[in-house]
Amino acid sequence: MKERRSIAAPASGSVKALSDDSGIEYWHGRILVTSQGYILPTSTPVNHYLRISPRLLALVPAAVAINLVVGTITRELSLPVYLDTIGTVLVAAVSGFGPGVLVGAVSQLLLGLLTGYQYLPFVVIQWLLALLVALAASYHGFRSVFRTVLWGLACGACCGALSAVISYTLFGGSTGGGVGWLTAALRSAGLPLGVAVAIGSSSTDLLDKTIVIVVTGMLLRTLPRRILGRFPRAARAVGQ
Amino acid sequence: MTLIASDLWFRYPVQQDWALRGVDLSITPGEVTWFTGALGSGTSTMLLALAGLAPRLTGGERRGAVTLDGRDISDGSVLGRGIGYLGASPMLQLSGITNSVRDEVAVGPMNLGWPAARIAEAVVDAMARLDISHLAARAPGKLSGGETQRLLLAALLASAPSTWLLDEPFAALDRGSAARVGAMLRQLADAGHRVVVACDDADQMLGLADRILVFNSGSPVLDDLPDRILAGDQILVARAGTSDAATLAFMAGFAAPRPVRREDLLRQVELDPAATPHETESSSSGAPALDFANVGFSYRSEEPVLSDLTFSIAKGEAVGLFGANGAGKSTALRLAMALEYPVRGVVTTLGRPTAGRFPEHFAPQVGYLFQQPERQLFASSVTQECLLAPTVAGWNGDRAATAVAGVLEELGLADTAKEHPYDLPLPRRRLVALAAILAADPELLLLDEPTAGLDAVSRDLVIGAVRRRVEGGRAVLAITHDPLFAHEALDRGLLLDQCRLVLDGPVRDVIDDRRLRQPAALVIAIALGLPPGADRRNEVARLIERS
Amino acid sequence: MTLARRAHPFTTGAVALTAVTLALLLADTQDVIVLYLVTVLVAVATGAGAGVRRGLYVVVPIWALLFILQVLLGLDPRTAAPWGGTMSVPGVQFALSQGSRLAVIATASLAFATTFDPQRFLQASIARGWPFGAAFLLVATLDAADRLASQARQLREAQRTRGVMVSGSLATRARALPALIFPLLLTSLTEADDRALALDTRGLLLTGRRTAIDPPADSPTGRALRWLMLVLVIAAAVWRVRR
Repeated sequence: MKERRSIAAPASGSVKALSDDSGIEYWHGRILVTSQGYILPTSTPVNHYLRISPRLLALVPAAVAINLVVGTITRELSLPVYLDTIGTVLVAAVSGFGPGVLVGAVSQLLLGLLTGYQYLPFVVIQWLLALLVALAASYHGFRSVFRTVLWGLACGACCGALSAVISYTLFGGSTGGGVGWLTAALRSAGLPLGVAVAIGSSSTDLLDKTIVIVVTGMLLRTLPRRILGRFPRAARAVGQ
Repeated sequence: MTLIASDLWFRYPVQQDWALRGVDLSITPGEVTWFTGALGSGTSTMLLALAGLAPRLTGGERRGAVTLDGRDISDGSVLGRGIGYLGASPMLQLSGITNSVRDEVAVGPMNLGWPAARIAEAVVDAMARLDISHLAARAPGKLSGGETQRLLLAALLASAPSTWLLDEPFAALDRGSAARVGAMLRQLADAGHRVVVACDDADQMLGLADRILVFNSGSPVLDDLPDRILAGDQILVARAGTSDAATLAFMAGFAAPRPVRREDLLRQVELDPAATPHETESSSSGAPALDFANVGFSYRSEEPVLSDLTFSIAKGEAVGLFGANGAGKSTALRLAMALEYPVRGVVTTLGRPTAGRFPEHFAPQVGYLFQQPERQLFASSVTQECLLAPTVAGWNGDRAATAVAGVLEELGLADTAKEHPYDLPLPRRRLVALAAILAADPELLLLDEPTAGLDAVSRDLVIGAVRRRVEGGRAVLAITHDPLFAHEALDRGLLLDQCRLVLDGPVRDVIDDRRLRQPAALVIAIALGLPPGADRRNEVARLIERS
Repeated sequence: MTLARRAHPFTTGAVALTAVTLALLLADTQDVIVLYLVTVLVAVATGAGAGVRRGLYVVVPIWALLFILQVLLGLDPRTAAPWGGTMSVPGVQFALSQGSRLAVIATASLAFATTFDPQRFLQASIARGWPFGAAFLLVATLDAADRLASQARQLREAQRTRGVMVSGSLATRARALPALIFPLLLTSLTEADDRALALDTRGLLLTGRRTAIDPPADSPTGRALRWLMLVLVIAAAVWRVRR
């Protein structure tokens, strides 16, 4: 915590909390790497370690829990989507790429305790999603419904493609759950396995991720001022 | 050894207004210091600033200085500097890393790196002093509000801080626990600790505090001995809030300086507490709004939660449901809303048996206010939130808009109609949840602790809203621990004990029978035959202006 | 308490991790099948049999899909199948090796999960001086998941009493979504500051040495077992590289 102060010494007589925008810093020697990608020299050398801001330390568990719980809610409503990455998307949009990656990683680790670690490779989908949503946020991607849908489709397409690749190479298309059975149905209809996996995985992900991003956009555009003030990236995401 | 704020200014992020404005004060060891003031007067923020948490963790901007023993307070962790801080929402302050009360109490010492033997000793001692030893093996997340509060106080005590900054420490406590905590704070102060308490519970603090600071608009406007301040009309004159005790002292004709104690007040008006009258006639008529006939309930094959419960609530009647924790109060309320179904007997809500029906079938003709109702708000403005119920009721746009505007006006929310509910302070957010339920003019209101966590002004608004509904022929069933609300809003009381109905009569009888705290203010108000709630304060305010 | 629950969490973790690593390193189908059987035996013998059952729930659908996609509809050449039709030769090979490999991973991780006690793990981490932040994050997340799940249940009830329909047509159910999830997101964001505050006031942000409270006992056998697991993994890796 001391090291942090050494970068931005407060003006005399006035203490202002540093913007907690990203919340993750990586220190090595005299170099500080923040999750926004800034590389700053520090005045005092420190051992390399990862430091997470208290607010992020409080937010990440909640976001991971949101991923799990929203997955349950959509299942109870028997909706044809999962939305179980909404916590990752939300945090990536309001806090940036680094926090989004953290939420994705912890989510997948925790999910492994419930469904086994064979699905761990799918963590890269969460990371890609965090990257794209953070990008969308910094380009005012949530300003209007139209822009949100476009970004949603783009994210959905990318995630779908990646998930098809993972599913084909590691599982031969046999990833339990709805996607697997959709793939099987397409394959029995005569499509080659590669095509069946590609269509099965990417259509599911395209729909799911697009809706996740659209729903998150609905929330972001109507966030209370108090939250916007605490998460400046959210304000930027909706073009304020 | 001093904690000093000098010319302290503080504002939260994106706020133009300063929450603290040029505060100068020093907190003395060996004293219990009491911060009080109306909602938004800055007492909670002051505690955060004294703890060094604002702006370090809250964000925002600080000018001026807060120092502990000459060092800036932002320097280092709160606990590491010997500061025990307790926020107003106990549930949010659990560590989340333990599965027993015993371990939760040990979290502070564990993080401070004490030797294991010392930790074990401190934990046992702290649990005994807060009377939670019997809960040692329970899961911290499954405790009641009062138990959680005691757990957190024990956790602070175990880490042996020398400065105690407590925000509403008595809020969730019953009478016995509050007295116990009060005695503990007294002992701590006498042992040379600094103890600062922010709350507006005059009955609790009057005998405890050595010094009172009354805040208004971000700085202390009065700073004196509690007896002196509370005995007169100073708080009202300083426009720093409406302490019930102060109001009534004024009504009873006390001049400052003079201590306000229940006994003194009663002697002044020549009354005996046992002889305080209460005359509310319930005007029941027509078909009951809610009827329980020989209702029994248990979760699966476990012990019964309710057995052979029979009562009915007429239209135009406000009924309170009383009893200890676990007596089955919440279950009775849930049965009335078809959230649970009776195992034996029949529950009839608005003339329809609940069996085979779902909560959706009774919405919005039945309004159900849950505990912590602010956590169910989802719309982007207060008005939008309130429009849900009229929409469900199928009202057209104009009728719905008029109804919502009326309810918002009634609950003092008209100026926040376009605000996001989550931008409002907690008590007002709770009022929004109530407004959302009242908007479609329900015929039966089921209220679970409707005044919990509300300030005096908000509580008066709730009391007023309930009374108007009852006079308009609506029925109310409420669970409450708030004696003021019970007295002023309810007619009849039902007392549950060990799953059975043991008393059904005027609310006053039930309250007298219970160990509910009876604020001196309430006793006097009844004795003097003063009007309830907001009317009483308005009357006093008029009198002050005239005098 | 079963052996697996009594054991030091690092030991059970090491055993599970070894099973997963071996599943990825072993190349021959028979070896992987044997590994699965060994995993099941170890899990049942140490009292983590529930993990085997939960593992089956997860892998049986995967096996079914592998059978359809690879065995029935797999690539040529094909051969006569015991049930009459034909089946893909490389498909059978792939289904058997991949099916048992995934089964090992699922069974080992779920058997570990049934024995995993977050609080014991945290105390073990503190006792061994592992980074507190990482262990805290994992344990606090499990706690948050519990808390949020019960918040979601209460929320569902609350919105139903306000007339939000949670069943009916697809459109009706979709309309219920904001009422059921927005409060979770909004309260999580607004409460983040309060919880961050609590982290400081409870001393969880302190950087010095912490004291473990009743850390799980480690035994020489446990330590030896962990070394053995390491040797096993290295041996398998060397064997795999030299082949």
